[in-house]
Amino acid sequence: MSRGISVATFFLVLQFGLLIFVFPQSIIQSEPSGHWMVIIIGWLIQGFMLRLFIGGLRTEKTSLLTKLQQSGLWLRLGLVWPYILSNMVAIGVMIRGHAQILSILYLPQTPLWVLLVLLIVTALSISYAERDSLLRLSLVIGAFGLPLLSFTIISAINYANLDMIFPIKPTFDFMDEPRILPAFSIFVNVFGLIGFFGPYAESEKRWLWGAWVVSLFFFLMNVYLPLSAFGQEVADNLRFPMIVLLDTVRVNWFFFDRLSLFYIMATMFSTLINISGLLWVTRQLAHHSSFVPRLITNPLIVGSFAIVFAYFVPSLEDLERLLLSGGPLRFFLLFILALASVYYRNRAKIGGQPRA
Amino acid sequence: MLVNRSKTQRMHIVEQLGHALDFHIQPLQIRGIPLEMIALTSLVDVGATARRLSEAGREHASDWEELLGALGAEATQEDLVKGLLEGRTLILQPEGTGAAWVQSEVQQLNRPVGTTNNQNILVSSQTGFIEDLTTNIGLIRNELRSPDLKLANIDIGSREKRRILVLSLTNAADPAFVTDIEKALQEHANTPFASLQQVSRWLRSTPRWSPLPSFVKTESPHEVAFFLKKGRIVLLVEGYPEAIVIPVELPDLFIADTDRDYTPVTAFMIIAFRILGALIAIFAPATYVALISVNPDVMKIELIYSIAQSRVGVPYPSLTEALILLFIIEMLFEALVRLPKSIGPAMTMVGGIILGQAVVEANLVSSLLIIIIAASTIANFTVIGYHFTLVIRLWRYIMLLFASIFGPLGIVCGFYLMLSLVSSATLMRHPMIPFKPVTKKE
Repeated sequence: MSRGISVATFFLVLQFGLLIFVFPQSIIQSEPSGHWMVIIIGWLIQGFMLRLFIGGLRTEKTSLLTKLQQSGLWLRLGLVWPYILSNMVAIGVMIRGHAQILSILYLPQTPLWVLLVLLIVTALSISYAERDSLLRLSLVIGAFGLPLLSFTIISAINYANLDMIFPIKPTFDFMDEPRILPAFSIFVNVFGLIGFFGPYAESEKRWLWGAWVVSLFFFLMNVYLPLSAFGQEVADNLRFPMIVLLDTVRVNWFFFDRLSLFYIMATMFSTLINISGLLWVTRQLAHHSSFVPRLITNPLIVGSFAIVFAYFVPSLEDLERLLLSGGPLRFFLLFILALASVYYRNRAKIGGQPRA
Repeated sequence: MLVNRSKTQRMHIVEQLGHALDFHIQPLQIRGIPLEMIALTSLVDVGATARRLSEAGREHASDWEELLGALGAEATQEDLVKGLLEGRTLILQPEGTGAAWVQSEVQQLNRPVGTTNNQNILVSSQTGFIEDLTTNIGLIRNELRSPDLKLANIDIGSREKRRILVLSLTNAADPAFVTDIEKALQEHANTPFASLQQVSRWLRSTPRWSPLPSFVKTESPHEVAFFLKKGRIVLLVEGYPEAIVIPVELPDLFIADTDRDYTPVTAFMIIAFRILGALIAIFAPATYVALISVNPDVMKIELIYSIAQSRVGVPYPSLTEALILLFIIEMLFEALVRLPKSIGPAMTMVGGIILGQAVVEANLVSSLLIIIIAASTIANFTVIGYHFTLVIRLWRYIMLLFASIFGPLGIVCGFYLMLSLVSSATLMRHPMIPFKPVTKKE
């Protein structure tokens, strides 16, 4: 039971940090109405990927991570190393985006590179530990982060005006809107980690599916709260609609003015554990390799690369352009990994030794 | 069968201990057989021992073996000097042969069993451990009359041996864990004993910079029984009036055994206040510095004015102000621990006046900071266990440093680092954050 809760909390905690960045504006800007359809499609894609990565409800004995660690040269060159590179870029994108947001909102005097280093150094602390340590950390982070997030969402609900969310009839305008692409990469990014934390027992999988259902609530809140407060026309022009909404919220009995501080704190926890998780997976994938691959995938080296990469991204707009092109590529890689997971599971079921 | 030894054993004893002021060698005649009694007068009441031996041997004995039988003597199988140093009494034949141990009348060197000295216990057994190992075992047996209580004895040290007892309940503790602990201690059996931290390093390979303790200390046998029933292992170290409970778990900071005596609702309330106290102790000074120095805009305007007014005339930044006050508090803590009881209350008053009034009137610190530091200091001690209060005291400074540079983000990062340390802390595969299915033990 306890591991099931940790895995489910890990899933939720990984999600909400990514929601702050490009998710709300991507969804709001992609469609004039009926945003719920885009969210549900993304959520279902997430469910589909989850099914591929972890399988049905039966207990699994295969570990994708172990199989990839033991894989042969061609699989490593064709799949594992591109995934490792993609992780490095993903870490760079995350720290750049969040450092920029923090610089804009709270720390305008602090040099950007200092914030980048701070995020990496903080996340490094647990990237050398075991898998269970990360799950325990996610449980504790969830215990602090989720109530903070819930508090901000509940405070913002007072400002919601249901009339503003109409019309709710969906259109298919998002299909030819490139700005939706980063949102989809956010939907699936979490599988870059969850898929490697198996094998999962039956009870753990039930908890994970439960967490997947709950995550829909966060997706909808992140989009519909700003929409219901500002309306489509105003929200369409906002870069960080949720943060602007939370800065508008006034809680009389509270001594803080800007509630977005708590939202940012909760998302920072999530971002840090995201980065720690990616550093951990990257290190684990080369665990049985020779000296040079292990050196390259050392969290310190990966973190340094991510800082350098993030520093040379000129602006937030360039970062978003990077997500436009890089997001689908990462999705494609994760999809191939998910198919690999299916392959290994099926081989294990028929009793064969999967060719690594 | 009692073993005869060579004549050189007496010479060896005299060589090793003969120079000591408390070394005593006394000729006796019991049942017509001459013998010598050797003991250390600092550990043995030689007069009472000699009287008892004389009374025991009233009738005539035909030989040495019969005499030893009448006196209830024991064979000497180990180092004689070591036995004398442990407070035993040796009898020898005048030629120096035929050594045997007899029952000693020990000197009362231990203080009587009383209440705990460094631990306050509410509405529960007040008995506390003392330095004597045998008494401590008796106190535990008094609380836990179970045949499942297992005691393993390990002597640590090269020339000077220190006894460590490993206690566990066979129907509660993980047998593999118990074996691992015993094995880890046995591997260092010839290492001189220095401190409990040294023992902790034998059991858990942690980096030296990690501030987290790997054990809980308790002076209460009642609490030890509670921990044993939960499947923990308890170490009793000779000469220490505390029991060492391993492994340490995060709930130990907030949940005491006496909480079970309350209703669930009230127990939950008390535990919640302890957790809140720990968070206030860690966050309060850092939050003050973060909000004053880095991000005052997140607070309400009325609060900003109020804080600004309280800081009028303070000539340095809030970080310096906080560090000065924290340093004074730390000095006060350390001084109060060492002060004689007659001076302590006076010093407390002086410290309070200096901290409370004079330093504010001199505009060295703001009055708000006094309130925050006082609250943080009091909140620090809501946590159970002195070791953990030290960790919180340390982490307060780390958070302060982060907060002064990065504001609220620094608090998040500092807290994340602390949680990472706690999440990755393990002792022989037992993590500090235990998440296991709840099983009912004895």
